[in-house]
Amino acid sequence: MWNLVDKSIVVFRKDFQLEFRTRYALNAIAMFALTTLAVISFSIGPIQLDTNILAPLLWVILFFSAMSGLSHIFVREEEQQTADTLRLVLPPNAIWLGKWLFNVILLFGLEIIIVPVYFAMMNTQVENLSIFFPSLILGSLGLASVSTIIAAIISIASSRGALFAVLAFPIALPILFSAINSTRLSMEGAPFMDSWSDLQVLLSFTIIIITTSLLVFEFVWKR
Amino acid sequence: MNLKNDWWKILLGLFLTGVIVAAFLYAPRAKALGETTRILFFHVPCAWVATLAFLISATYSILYLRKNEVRYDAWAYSSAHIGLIFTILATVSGAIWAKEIWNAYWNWDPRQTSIFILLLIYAAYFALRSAVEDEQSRARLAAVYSIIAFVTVPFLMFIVPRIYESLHPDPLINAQGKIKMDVKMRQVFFASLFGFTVMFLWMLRLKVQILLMERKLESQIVTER
Amino acid sequence: MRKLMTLAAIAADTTLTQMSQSMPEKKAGENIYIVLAVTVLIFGGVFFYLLYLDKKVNRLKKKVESREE
Repeated sequence: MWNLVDKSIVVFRKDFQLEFRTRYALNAIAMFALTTLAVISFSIGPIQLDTNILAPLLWVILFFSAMSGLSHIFVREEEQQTADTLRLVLPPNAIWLGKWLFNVILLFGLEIIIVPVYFAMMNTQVENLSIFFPSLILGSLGLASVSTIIAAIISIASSRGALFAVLAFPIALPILFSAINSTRLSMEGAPFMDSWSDLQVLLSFTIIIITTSLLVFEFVWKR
Repeated sequence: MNLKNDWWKILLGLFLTGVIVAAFLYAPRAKALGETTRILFFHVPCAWVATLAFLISATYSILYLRKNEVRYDAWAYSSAHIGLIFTILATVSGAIWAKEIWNAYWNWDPRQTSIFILLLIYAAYFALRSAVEDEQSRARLAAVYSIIAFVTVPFLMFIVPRIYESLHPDPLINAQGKIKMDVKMRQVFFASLFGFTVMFLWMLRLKVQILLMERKLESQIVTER
Repeated sequence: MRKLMTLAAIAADTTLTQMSQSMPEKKAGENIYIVLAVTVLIFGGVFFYLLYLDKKVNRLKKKVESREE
C-alpha cells in the first residue's frame, strides 16, 4: 500500500518538476479560462445575472478549461516518447495515481486564480461558504478523475483535442449537474443540509470513478 | 430462405405483424391520450432495446478485457451499433409524440434527457473507435470507455429526475397517481416487447457474423500476399 | 427476467401517467396519422437496417465462395 503511494509520489514529483520548468499546462489552462471569462463578461456587459445562470457559467468555464489542459499529462508522454520508459519502471496504478494527483493540483491552482476573478467580474458573491468550498473541491476532484482516465484513453488516438471533450462530457455530467446545483444553493445562501445530497453524489461518484480507473487503467496503458 | 432453419424468422415476422394489428385494433385507448396511446407499443420497446443493447455492449466489453478474444469485441461493437439505431428511433418517435401531446418536440423532461445522454455516450463510443488505428488498441480502449460509461449511468438515473424536478416544477414526473395499465394493453405491450427483443437478438447475431466474416476475409487476403 | 418485465411495465406505466397528466385542455392526441407515421418510421427503420445487414451478408458469402473456388 505505502509502496504504491510512494511510487505515485515519484510520478507526481517527476511531472511537477517538468511542469515547474516550463509552466506549460498551468499557463495554457489559466489563459484559456481567463479568455473565456473575458468573453462572457464582455458579452453580457453591465447586466446582473441571477444565480440560475451564474452557477452553470462558472462550471462551464471550469469544465472547458479542464478539457483544454488536463489531457496534456498523458499526451506529453506519448509525444516525447517517454511512455515506454515509464511503463518499464513503474506499475500502472502508481502512474495513474501520480498523474491524477498532478491534475488535481493543476485544477486547484487554476481555481485559486479564476474563482476570485469570476466573482469580481460578475459582481456577485457567495452567501454560504460552507457549501461553496466542499462543492468546488469535490467537483474538481471528480473532474480531475474523469479527465485523467479519459486523457489516458485518448493519448494514442488521432484528433485528440476534439475527442477529449466529446468523450469526457457524458462521463462528467453527474459531476456537472450536482456541482452546478450546490454552487447555485451556495450563492442563494441556502442552509448546508440542502446541498447534502449533491455533495454525496459528488463524493460517491468521484470514488467510483477513481476505483474503476484503477481497475481498467492497465488495459489502457499496456501496448 | 430455408424453411428448416429460418422458420422462426417467418414466425417473428408474422408475430410482429400481429402485434401491429393488435396495437391498432385490439388495444383500448388511455383516456387522456386518445389515439396516440398506440405509439406506446412501439416507442417503449425501442427505448428498451436501446438500453438492453447498452448493457450487453458493456458486458461484452468486460468479457473482452478479461479474455482478450476478438469475438467479444465484435459482440460489444455490434450491440452498440444496433443500440444506436434504436436510440435514434426512440428519440425521433418520442419527439413526434411529444409534439402531438405536449405541443413541443423537445422539452427536456427526465426521460428525454436520459435518452439524449445515451445518444451522447453512443456517439462518443463510435468517435473513439474511429479515431484509433490499431485494431487491438481500438478494441481495448473502446471496451474501457464503455465500462466507464456503464458505471456513470446509474448516477445519471438518480440525478436527472431530481435536477429537472427542481429546475422545472412541471407535472411531468409524478410518483403517485400511477394509472394501471389495462389488461389488454398490457398483453399487447409485452408481446411487442418480446418481439422487439427477439428481433434485436437476431440483428445482433447477423451483425456479429458479418464482422467476423469480414475479419476472416481480410486476414486471408493478408496471408495470401 | 420477471423482474425486468415488471421494470418495463413500470416504465410504460409512468410514461403513460406523464403523458396523460400533462395534457393541455384542447383535444390533442386524436390524430391517428401521427400514430401511423410513428409506426411506419420505427418499422421502416428496422426493416431497412435488416435489409442492409442482409445485403452485406450476401455480399460476403459470395466473396467467400469465389475465394474457395
